[in-house]
Amino acid sequence: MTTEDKPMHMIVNCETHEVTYVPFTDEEIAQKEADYQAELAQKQQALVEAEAKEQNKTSAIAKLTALGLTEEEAATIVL
Amino acid sequence: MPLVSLIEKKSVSGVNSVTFSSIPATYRDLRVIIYYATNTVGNFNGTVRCQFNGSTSNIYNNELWNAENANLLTQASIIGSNNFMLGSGGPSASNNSSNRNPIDFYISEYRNTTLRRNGLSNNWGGGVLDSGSASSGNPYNYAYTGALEQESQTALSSITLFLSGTDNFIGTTMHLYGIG
Repeated sequence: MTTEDKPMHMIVNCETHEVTYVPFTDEEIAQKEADYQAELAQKQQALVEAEAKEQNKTSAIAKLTALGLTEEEAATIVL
Repeated sequence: MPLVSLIEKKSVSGVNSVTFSSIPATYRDLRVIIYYATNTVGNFNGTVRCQFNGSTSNIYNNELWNAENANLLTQASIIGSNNFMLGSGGPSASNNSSNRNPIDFYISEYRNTTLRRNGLSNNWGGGVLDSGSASSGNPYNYAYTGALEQESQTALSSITLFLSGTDNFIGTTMHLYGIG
């Protein structure tokens, strides 16, 4: 990645209103990529956990209704 | 209390982070309003983040509630602890002036050295139609609200906003106000 291709910091001085642009270092880019991949993995994990929770809830309500509860009654037990 | 405009800037191509430095120690509170766009065409998978005084060593406590699907995003799940997460999702088109998403971030008592830094943030879809949402289909119009605290009593003199990943903020407008 050339300097021209690198993401930049835009620094705005609130006293002088001067704006400067500083390219990210290679280390900053590597850290950013690693942080982003970790974030995507965590997002995926959160989606999987939410889906599993929803499936467990549906299953629990089905089992409770099989025991004679109405769906409304079962839903008050299963949070 | 008067609301005083300190800075209004538009980001150019290639900018991934924006820092407001040398914030005057003149006001009581600060308010940051940005209308963000990115260079990504299609669904933006990253998030908009923030750090105070460039610190990565302080702990940032932060939770966001998403009204679209009633999900709570926590530090432990997604946000992490060395920055604030201000927003996620959209905009769904690149550098489109009619397709930018707002973030409104209020920071209280930014100069107070006996209290920790804290604030409230809001981020919403701005009416953007986004077909990339798996959770709610199309149209997708999310709304986040969040509470934030940095475990630091250092007076705030700089605020950095950045995108996770290496996308850039092209076409994003940023405003900083002093209050009181």
